[in-house]
Amino acid sequence: MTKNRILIVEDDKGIADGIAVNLQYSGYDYAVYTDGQEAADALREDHGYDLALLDIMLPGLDGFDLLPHMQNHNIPVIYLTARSDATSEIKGLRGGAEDYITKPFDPLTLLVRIEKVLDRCGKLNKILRVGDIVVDCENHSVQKNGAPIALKPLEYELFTLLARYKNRTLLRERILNEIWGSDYFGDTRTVDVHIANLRRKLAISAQLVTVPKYGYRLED
Amino acid sequence: MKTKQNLWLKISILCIGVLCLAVMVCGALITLPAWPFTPLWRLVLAWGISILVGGVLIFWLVRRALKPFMDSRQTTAATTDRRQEMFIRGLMHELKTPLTAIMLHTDTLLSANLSQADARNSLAHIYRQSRWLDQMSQKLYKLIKLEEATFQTRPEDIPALLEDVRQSTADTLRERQTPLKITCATDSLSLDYDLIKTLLINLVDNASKASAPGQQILLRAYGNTLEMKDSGYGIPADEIAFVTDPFYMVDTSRNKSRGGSGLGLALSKRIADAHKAQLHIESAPNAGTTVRVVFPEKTSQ
Repeated sequence: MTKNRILIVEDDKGIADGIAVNLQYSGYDYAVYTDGQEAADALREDHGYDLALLDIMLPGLDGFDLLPHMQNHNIPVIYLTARSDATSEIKGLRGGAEDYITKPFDPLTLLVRIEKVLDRCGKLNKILRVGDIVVDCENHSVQKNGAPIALKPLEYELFTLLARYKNRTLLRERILNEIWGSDYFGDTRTVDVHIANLRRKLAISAQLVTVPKYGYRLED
Repeated sequence: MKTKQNLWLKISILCIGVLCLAVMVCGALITLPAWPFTPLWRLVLAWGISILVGGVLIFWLVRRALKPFMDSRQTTAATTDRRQEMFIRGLMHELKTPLTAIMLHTDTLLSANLSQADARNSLAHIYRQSRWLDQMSQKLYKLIKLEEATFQTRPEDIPALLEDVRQSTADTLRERQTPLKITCATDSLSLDYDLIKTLLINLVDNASKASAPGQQILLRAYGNTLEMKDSGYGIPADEIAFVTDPFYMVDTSRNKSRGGSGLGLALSKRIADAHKAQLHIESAPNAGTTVRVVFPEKTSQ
C-alpha cells in the first residue's frame, strides 16, 4: 500500500510544521519547501506528489506562478492563503486550482479537503488499515484478520471516518455532521449507539476510545 | 479634518449671506427714489431677481476662491483614510499568520495523539509565535503613543548615546557576527534620548540583518546627522519609497525568519518626524544601504 504524498510550499515555519505533523499522523508522506523557486526547481527532479498545498505569498515564485509547474506534472493544487478577498479566490480557482482555504483553518478541515481533492482526482488511497482491520473503500468491505465482517451502511461509513482520521479525536457533532448530514434532527446519541455496535462487531473496545465530553478516537 | 471642512463651509455660507444682504440694501437704497412710483409687485420682482442674480454670482465667486483649498483638504483626507486602511490591512495580515500557526498547533495537540517529541515541537512553535505577537504589539504601542506624544527634547550627550546603543545591540550583533563601528564627531544634539535610542537600535538591527556574517556596519554622527551604513542586501530602487510604511517588508520571508515585523522603519520615521528631522534612505541591491537622520539646524551646539 503506497501512502499519498503531499507537497507543502509555505514560508512560515510554524504553519508548515503544523500542517506537516498533521499529515504525518494521518498517514501521508510529505515534503516541505519554504521558497517558491526552490520548490519549482526541485519539482524537475522529483514530481511524485499526489497533491500540492501552496501558500500564495511566497518568496521566489508566488503560489499563482507555481500553478503551471504543478499542472505540468498533473499535481492538483489547494491554495492556502491569508487573503480573504473575493478577487483572489476567483483568480486562484480560475487558474486551475482544485480548492482554496483561508487562514486560519483547523487541521481537520484541511484533511477533509485534501481527501476530497484526492478522491476527485482518483488518487485517494482506497485501502485503510487500523491494527488488524482492513477497509477496502473500492469494494466497501471490511476485514479483520482476513475474515470479512458484515457492517450496516451507516456503521461502515462511521468506521471509515474513524479509520481515515485514526489517532485523532473526532467530536460527536462533527461525526453526526459528516455521516448523518447537517439536517439530521436526531441527537448525538445516535452516534453513541453506532459506536457501541462497531465495538461489538469488530471487537475493538480497546482501540475505539471514548474521550469524555468530546467524542471518539480510533487508535492504531 | 472634517470639522475644519465644515467650518469653512459655514464661513462661506455666512459670507454669501452677508453679501446678499448688502446687495439687497444697496439695491433698495439706489432704487429708493422710485419706490412711490413703482407698483409693489414690480418692486418685489426687482428685489427678487437682484438677490437671486447677486447671490448666484457671489456664491460662484466664493466657490472658485475656495476650491483649490477645499480640494487639497479632500485629497489629504482621502490619503489619510487610505493610509489607515492599509495599516489595518497590514495589521490583520500580520496577525493571521501567527494566529494560524498557534491555532493549528493547539488543535493538533488537543485532538491528535502526538508523541512527546512532536508535542514539544508544537508547544515550541506556539511559544515562539506568542513571543513574536508580544514584540509586535510593543512596537505598535510605541507607534500609537507617538501620535499623542508630548515629548521633550533636551541637549543630550551623543557619544554616550551611541555607546548605549552599542551596549543594547551587543548580543544580537555578536550572534549575527556583524561588528559595529562607531565614529562620533558631534558632542551634543537636542533630542528625546529614549526615542532616538529606539530609532538607532532599529537602524542597527536592520543593518545587521541585511549584512552577511563578517560584514561590518557603521554608525556615525557628524554635524546634525546620525548615519547608519551597511554593505549588505540593499533595497531595490522602486521599493525605497515604501520601506517606511507600516508592515512593509522587502523580501518578506527573509525578514520574518529573523523576527522582523515591518514596523521598525515606520516607527523610526515617526520618531524622526516628531523631531522634525529628515530621514534619508540610499540603497541599491547588494550594494548596501545608508540611512541618515538629519536634525533641524538649530539643534546642534
